[in-house]
Amino acid sequence: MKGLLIKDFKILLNQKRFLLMFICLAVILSFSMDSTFVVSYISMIGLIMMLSTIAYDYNDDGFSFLMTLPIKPGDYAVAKYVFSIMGVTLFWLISLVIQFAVLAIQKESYVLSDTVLLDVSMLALFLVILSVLLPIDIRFSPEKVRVVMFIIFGIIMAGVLAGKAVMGILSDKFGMVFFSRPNPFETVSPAVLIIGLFAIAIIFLSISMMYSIRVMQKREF
Amino acid sequence: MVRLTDLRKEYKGFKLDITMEIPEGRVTGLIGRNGAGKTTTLKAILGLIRPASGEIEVLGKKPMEFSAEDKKQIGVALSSSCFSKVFTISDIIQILKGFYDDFNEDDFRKKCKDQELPFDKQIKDFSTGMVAKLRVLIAMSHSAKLLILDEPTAGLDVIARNDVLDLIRAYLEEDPNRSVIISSHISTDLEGLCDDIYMINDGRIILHEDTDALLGKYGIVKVSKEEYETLDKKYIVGTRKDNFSVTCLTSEKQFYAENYPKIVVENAHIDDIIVLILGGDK
Repeated sequence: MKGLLIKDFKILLNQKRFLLMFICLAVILSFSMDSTFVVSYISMIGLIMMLSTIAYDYNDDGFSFLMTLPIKPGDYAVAKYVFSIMGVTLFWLISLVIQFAVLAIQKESYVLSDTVLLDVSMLALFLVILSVLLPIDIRFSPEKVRVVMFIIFGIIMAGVLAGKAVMGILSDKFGMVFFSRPNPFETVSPAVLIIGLFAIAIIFLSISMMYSIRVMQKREF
Repeated sequence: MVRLTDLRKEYKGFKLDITMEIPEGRVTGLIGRNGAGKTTTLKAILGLIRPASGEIEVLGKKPMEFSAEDKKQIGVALSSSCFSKVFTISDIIQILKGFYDDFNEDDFRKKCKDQELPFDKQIKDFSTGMVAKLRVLIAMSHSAKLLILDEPTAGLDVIARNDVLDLIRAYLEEDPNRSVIISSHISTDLEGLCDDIYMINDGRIILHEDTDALLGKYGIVKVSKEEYETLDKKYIVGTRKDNFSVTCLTSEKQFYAENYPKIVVENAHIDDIIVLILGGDK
């Protein structure tokens, strides 16, 4: 496990120029964008960087060699989750530093509790996204991942558009009212909301990791 | 140390059916054409693929049930797979330290220096020979009992090939109980290194002999077409006919040297044996 984590960290370091470039870009953009932009942007970059380490393992049939090292196939999946969760969290923390630094420089007024609540919610959301994308990256080769992602996002987009259309028809013809309930951010206490979001993220990550372990155990190299 | 009993594995257009045994302290060669089944056999030994049937036992265990500790006793160099090419040797040292408790960093660094491998250059910028040497050195970096080397000299010039073979010889000299399984389609590499040789063709073992016996007993008999008609063929295991003569491979060269004093009987090298068994007339 330790060797796998060092390997992924070294892959990440190998991309340090890209990382610095993206972070600089985020800093520049954050002066003209909403303060939460930098958090979502850098967390997304972190997520992509974590997932890209799997492509490095796939290249040149690298999985075959990795599985001859003193690990079990399931260990690979576990290490990838540990590394990705740590990585996304680290990028999120970096984004917070930048966000509050920019807010301080701009001397903008903001409600600390609201900003932190939104930032923490975003971390939970990125962990949920990670739980969906990691098994796809582990299960499929990088070439297939692009196709699978395209199909998944296509289905989501189609679902959203179809749902919107159906709701529009139902609302127009039958007078049905959607989203009439108050915004949960306003009615539920922040602590409950954060705990709830992280509980969802943990459930998603657990199911996702169990699936990825099974994928690795069943695979031939 | 390694035992394969009726190991079967099937892919589209290819069937592997192998029985073989590698005792402790032996260097065993797997030789055969590209696609003969050498890499598939090694992958089965390493537990990288699941056999359809048959038994595999490596260091007293089934490879699919290997723990991390079991794997530490095996050093592997695969022909087409290693660490990512973005790494440098300095990176690999850090990674190997994370995998193996008994990774000998000083020894690994010394051997890399001896082979003039640069520490801070990415592997993608290495020559083929440098990559081959690095793969073998990685396999040897943690004092494994069993080395599994898949085509470690493929694509190398003669000097780089000798360097790689010398590395393997030096590793064996350090501890005579170490075993090596080495696959190659370059027979001369195996002649001077292996105690015994398995010849694989179309997924089957077609020959297994001690190297000394193979080189001592097998011979090339060159005869005219007329002489061939009268030749006792009970020890002829392969032939190749051309317009005027017939080249025969015999498994008992002494028999023909003694009984046919007028015909030419030459020593056979493994290349001759392969050519005449695999590429000879049926």
